[in-house]
Amino acid sequence: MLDWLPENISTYGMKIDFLFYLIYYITNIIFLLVAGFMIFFMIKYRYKEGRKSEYTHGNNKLELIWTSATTIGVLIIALVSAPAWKEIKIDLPEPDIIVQVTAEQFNWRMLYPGPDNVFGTADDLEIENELNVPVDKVIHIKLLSDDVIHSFFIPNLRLKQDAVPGREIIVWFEAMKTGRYEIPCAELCGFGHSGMLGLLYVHSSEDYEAWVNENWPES
Amino acid sequence: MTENDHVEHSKQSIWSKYIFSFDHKMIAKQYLLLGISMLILGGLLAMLIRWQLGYPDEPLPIIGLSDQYMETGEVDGVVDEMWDGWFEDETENWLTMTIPGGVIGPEFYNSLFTMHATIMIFFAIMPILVGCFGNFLIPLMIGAKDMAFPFLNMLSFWVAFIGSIVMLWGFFVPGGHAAAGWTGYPPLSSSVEFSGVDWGQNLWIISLMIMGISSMMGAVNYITTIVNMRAKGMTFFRMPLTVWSLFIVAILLLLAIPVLASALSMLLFDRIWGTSFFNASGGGDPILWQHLFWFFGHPEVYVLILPGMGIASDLLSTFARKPIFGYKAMVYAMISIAVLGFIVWGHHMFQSGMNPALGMTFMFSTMAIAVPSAIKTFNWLGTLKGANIKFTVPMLNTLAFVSMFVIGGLSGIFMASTPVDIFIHDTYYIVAHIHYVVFGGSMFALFGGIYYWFPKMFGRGMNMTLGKIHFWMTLIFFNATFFPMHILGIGGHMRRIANPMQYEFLQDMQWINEFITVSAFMLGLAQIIFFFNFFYSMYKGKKSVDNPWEANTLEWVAATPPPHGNFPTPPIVYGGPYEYGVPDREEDWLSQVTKR
Amino acid sequence: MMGHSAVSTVNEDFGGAPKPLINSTYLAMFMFIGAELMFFSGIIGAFLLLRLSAIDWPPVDQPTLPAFVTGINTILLLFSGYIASRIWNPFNNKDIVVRNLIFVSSLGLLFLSVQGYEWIRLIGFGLTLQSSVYGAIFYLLIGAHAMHVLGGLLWLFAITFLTIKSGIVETNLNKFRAALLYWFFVVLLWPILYFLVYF
Ligand code: HEM
Ligand SMILES: [Cu+2]
Ligand SMILES: [Cu+2]
Repeated sequence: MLDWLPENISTYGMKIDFLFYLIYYITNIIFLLVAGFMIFFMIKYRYKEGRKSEYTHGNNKLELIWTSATTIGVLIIALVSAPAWKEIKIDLPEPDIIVQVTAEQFNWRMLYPGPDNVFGTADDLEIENELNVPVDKVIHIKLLSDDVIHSFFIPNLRLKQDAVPGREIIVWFEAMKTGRYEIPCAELCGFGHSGMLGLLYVHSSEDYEAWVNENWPES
Repeated sequence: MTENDHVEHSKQSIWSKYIFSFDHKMIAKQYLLLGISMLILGGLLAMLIRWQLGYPDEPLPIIGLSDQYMETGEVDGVVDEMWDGWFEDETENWLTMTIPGGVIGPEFYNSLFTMHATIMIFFAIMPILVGCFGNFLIPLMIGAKDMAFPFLNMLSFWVAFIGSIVMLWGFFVPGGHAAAGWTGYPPLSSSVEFSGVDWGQNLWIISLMIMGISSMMGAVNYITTIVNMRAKGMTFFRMPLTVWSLFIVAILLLLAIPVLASALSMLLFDRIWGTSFFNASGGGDPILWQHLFWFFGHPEVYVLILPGMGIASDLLSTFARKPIFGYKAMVYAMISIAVLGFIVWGHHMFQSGMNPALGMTFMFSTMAIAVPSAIKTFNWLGTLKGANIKFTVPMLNTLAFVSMFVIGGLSGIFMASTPVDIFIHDTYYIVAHIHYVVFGGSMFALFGGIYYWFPKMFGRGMNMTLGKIHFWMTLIFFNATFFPMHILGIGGHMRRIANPMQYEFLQDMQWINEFITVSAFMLGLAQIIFFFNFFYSMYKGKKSVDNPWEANTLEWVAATPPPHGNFPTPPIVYGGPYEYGVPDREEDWLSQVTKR
Repeated sequence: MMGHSAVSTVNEDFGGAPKPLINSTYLAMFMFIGAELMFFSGIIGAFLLLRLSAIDWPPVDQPTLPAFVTGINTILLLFSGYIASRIWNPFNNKDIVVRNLIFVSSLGLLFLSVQGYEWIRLIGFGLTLQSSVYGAIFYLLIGAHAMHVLGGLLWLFAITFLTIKSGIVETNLNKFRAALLYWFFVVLLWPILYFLVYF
């Protein structure tokens, strides 16, 4: 089942995958235990004429044990999850590159600040549905929306964030591997939601340099 | 039967007996009929959804839409008169407008899943689990002759009926039915410009408001009845867990639905009077809707599962011939689910742009709510230990409920972990979770409950051979349909997309979609057995005795089917509902009305 | 003979049943009011969220609300609630009860009229549903309350009519008090809205 996760190319993706595996194993063990007991009881205590069941109304000690055990269990899961969440969505690292992404029905508009590194000037570069970034660099995405709620989803980067009209939401990633990846929209945004798709190109630093030289306006 | 009684009966007209009846049992049957009709409709919508996902953009098979019909609206020269004058063009009609060329297409697809969820949640599961079982069982199980407010009860059903008509109407208005998901997130839902959906969405809002009013009336009735009308000796802690669960559900409805109503009003204002509550450019906030909706929405999902938990507890104990394990723990678990249910709504909004620090606190509260769910599961297991289990059809469904609910609860843990949720939010993983708790949970309990109480309702038993075939087919094809959705979700497959083949990274997984579609059709076919069994047994089933399952609770003391007023004399309760296998007794059961 | 007695018990209130914990009508009213409170909490929550995230409140081009007039109006409504509370035990002279009921409703009516007048003025100043989210939430919240006042008034009219027709008999008492409970809810909710919205 685990092979089905798309290849991870982001620095923090490993942490998400690790948590996923962790919870996967914990829940599997619990499931097997519960199912095992259930099947065992079902076979062992199947109906026999004339036999009576054990007459008991419960056991407070057992209640206490499994209540505290599950409480501790889920608390641990929450506690190990917290740092990853903090790293990914709360404490953003300083950016090397900032790209402004505006979602609209049904496109991603990627805006680069251009040579002056300031958004909203004449030398900005806008490309539809194509995000170009260098590998091993911290990228900030300034996420906006023009119309309805969309969700910026890059499966390989383990990144998802809704783009909300009226808000400017910043998310970050650092890609570890070059290549071409898909950026679907993950939040229902209208009849064109299915098929709203951008592409992410992660370049080596030389290639990125070349791409910038070729495409960015002169300063 | 005395003469007096006879006169009373013949005086009752068809209207007051079958239509505007005040009798809780008749109202329960009305809810059941409404729920089952909507269940069938919702199921058919699901089949269409699956067709589109398994075979994207291919024309629908069978439905009998010849090319000629799709192009011209005529079959062999017969014009579809029903739609005369509705559409501008002569050759246009509802079908050619909605599924041109027999292909579902993205617009209609969005309406399909929106309406599938809306219908299943508000018009199938709630009317059956809460409306039907609540009405039928509460007075019978607590030994009352009827509800506290019979007139209100009747009204509640007919308001729900009107609500259903309004919802169905939406399918036929220009622009199509609501297509913003059952969660109706604005601005997509708040503006015609963005969705192309006009009155469909308005009718969706109005219908849900009407359904809310109906639920409020029901909730007030249930609570008052349970608090005030219990028979002598029926203390709170002698109530069957089904009654407890419905009691708690009524409280949840009472507190949650008004918040939905407030949100729906704002949405309607935005749509009709041009306010901008959810419109950022006018100073509003789209996320406000999500807060209000999920404040209602999370308690709502517990409204769907709690009656199932109650029913499962009752059936489990009855067929295990053993007292329920940890009765009080069960009650306290349900109460804490209800309380915690109001502080976890943010787990639906982790990626919504809500302050991520807030997301962190919602992660902790969500983890906490997994605890009472686990307690319930362990207590069900405890009930099975040392039991004497009769594998009747209701019991099979109950056991399926327990095991499927475990899977659904465990998948909830993944999503409660905020970092993992980043990846699986809005993917098929969520769809899998939903269906394991709502189909695997609520629906199996619903089936179990119907098989179990059918004799009391209609005086005849359902056919158990058909019941077994239905059960095994449902269990197998349910898992074949919904388990693979976990895998799709892990592969990154988004929910609510009409055509997965548009994405390179999903193309390798399309065979899973196809497999799911085939299983879903089989699952759908299996339900025909159930519906056949249901309607056939109503008239032709074997006549049932008063207490066919040798159960303890009060509904089995009443005659089958119970007459108006339920009990000939007010029952007096001497013990708890789960006294099975009491030592030193000949039978392995001990009715609540038996002196001890 | 046997059968006959069995039938007659069905038609009685269950003799064996314990005394209800609380009068069913009151219980239902409390729950109804609880639900109403949740409805208003939803809108108040929305109000607070919008207000706290707004840059300025009210927006610069929007009129401020008539806090003074509405303050007086608040006192009117509270006074009507006070009068209503004095006929909670309506066992004295029927005429006095009716007179008090009419007084309560008149104050309620006056409250509504003043509000209506203020609304017309506000609309004249350019505060409308569409002018800003400030206007929208104002009309929604205050309007929802006004609708409840109207509902309460109709209910009061109904019981006034009932009292005139048949006086206060035991069977009417629940209906009578249900209307009063609803009126108390409408009255007591108002000051909260007033302080939240008008300042
Ligand atoms: C063990 C307890 C449970 C936990 C920890 C849990 C957790 C969650 C979380 C975190 C989500 C949001 C996932 C996302 O959108 O990213 C979710 C969604 C959902 N849950 Fe649960 N859940 C639990 C039990 C239940 C139960 C008992 C039901 C219903 C009967 C239920 C019904 C749903 C539904 C319908 C959704 C999807 C709503 C939507 O977006 O359309 N859950 N659950
Ligand atoms: Cu989108
Ligand atoms: Cu939830």
